[in-house]
Amino acid sequence: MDDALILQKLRAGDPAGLGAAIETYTGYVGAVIANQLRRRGSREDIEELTANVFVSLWENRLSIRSGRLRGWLGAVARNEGRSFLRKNRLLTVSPEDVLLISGDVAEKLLERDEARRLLWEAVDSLTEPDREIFLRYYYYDQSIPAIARDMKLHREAVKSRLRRGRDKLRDMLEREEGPFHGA
Amino acid sequence: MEHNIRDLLDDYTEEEIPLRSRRSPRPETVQKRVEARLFPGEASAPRRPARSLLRTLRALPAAALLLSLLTVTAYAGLSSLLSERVYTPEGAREELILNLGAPESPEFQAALDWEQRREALDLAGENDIGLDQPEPGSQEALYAQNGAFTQAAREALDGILEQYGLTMAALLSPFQEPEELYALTGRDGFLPPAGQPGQDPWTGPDPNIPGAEHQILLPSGALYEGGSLTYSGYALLSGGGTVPYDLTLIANGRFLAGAGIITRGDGFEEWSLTAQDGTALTLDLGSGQAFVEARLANGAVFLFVRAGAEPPDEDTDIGRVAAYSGFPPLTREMLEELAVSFDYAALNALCIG
Repeated sequence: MDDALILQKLRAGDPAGLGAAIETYTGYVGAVIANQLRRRGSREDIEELTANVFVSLWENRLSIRSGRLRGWLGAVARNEGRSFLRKNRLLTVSPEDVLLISGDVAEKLLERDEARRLLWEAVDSLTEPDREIFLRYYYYDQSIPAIARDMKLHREAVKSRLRRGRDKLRDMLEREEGPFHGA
Repeated sequence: MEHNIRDLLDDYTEEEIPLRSRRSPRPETVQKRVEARLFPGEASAPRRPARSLLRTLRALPAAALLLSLLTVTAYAGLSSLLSERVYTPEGAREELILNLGAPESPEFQAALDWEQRREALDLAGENDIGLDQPEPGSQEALYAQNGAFTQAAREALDGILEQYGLTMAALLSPFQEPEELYALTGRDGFLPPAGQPGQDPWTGPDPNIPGAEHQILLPSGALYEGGSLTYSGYALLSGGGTVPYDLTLIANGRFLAGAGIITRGDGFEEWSLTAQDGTALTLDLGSGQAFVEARLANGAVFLFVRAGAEPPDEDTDIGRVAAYSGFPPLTREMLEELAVSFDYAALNALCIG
């Protein structure tokens, strides 16, 4: 059952649509959550948070605008995982998570929404495979060894690409270059 | 101004990257949970265990947490221990001060020089050569294996190798069990007896994850040209317990990035011991980790032991810390037993230069 049909059934209130979504996307949703939790949660926790995502899908079935479910489910799953860690005071911040912005644009980035919009644009402007490495690390919270394994790259290449991507994003934000030039 | 990248990616939509995890639940399990929530009376959800792993983690003593994080860091490679910042769950930052404790050998000094320079060098060059997996055995593979991904980094590494008179040791073969290593080297029994997987808290399935198929730590290693080797595994002691350790053997004249670096914190008890074959050993026992060092005629042995003198907390059974559940503190006698259980003469013979 493809996304369009699943959404059609969901919007019609047909539980079969939900069942199909669970069957199709549990692996992906579970992986998103498992990556966020790493070893900070049990298998039971992952199951419960995964279930939360599909409960949200059912409860929000009438307001989902996207024609594709994967992105919506991934974002909700990521938020579930991070909320769980935050609630249990397990959400940590490492130096690699912090982007230090200086220069004239810093004032503009005081607005969180503006900073978010600019970062999203900057991420989307990264060339592959830098973009995928960046998102696997920062969005999906995959470890460097896991990224190297899945993308068939050397670990040091992943580290190097991540550093480079981070520097590039910071430079772009500070100079207001690239996709948001003049924004 | 600081922005947290992960926070800024909240609500970002990603549609294409394939993702997998062995810990993803089964669809039927999720289905039951969802049905129990949305359509009560039609299904029953699995019950949560009475004991929450998260409650356990919050109760973790700081020392045990540091121990767990440091241990996992060591699993990623000794080189990463050079300077490691550790974050507690509450976000308070503690910086571990790690002292270098390795012999003043060219192999160690070269590895140290390289560790200190390559972080900057990786970003300095424009000719990134590390994106694709290089052909095994090629010169590119040697550079990639040691973290030289740019022309500038290659040249710097070449300079260090020339300065210390070393050559890079090519990876010959990865392996998982000691028996595989014995088959590769044609020599038997030079590592201590390994614990039986699944028989104790170290090697069995994670007790906190019902039905988990994975072990807490999978033994694995790599054999390099010239006899250098790295191995993470377990040793069975006479008392029946098993001790996890990381062994690094560096052959004289060979360079292995990071492998020649041993770091340790303060508060270690250090003493000397002589193995049966006359090899002089230096032992260090700390609260959460221990080391054994030995200089051989043809190389050097560094042993990082993933246990220490402090008793493991019974209530530290979450994730990374799970390995410590039920394991007694490491005593001097246990460390000595482990240290002399290696056949140093055989290890020396592996290092053919």
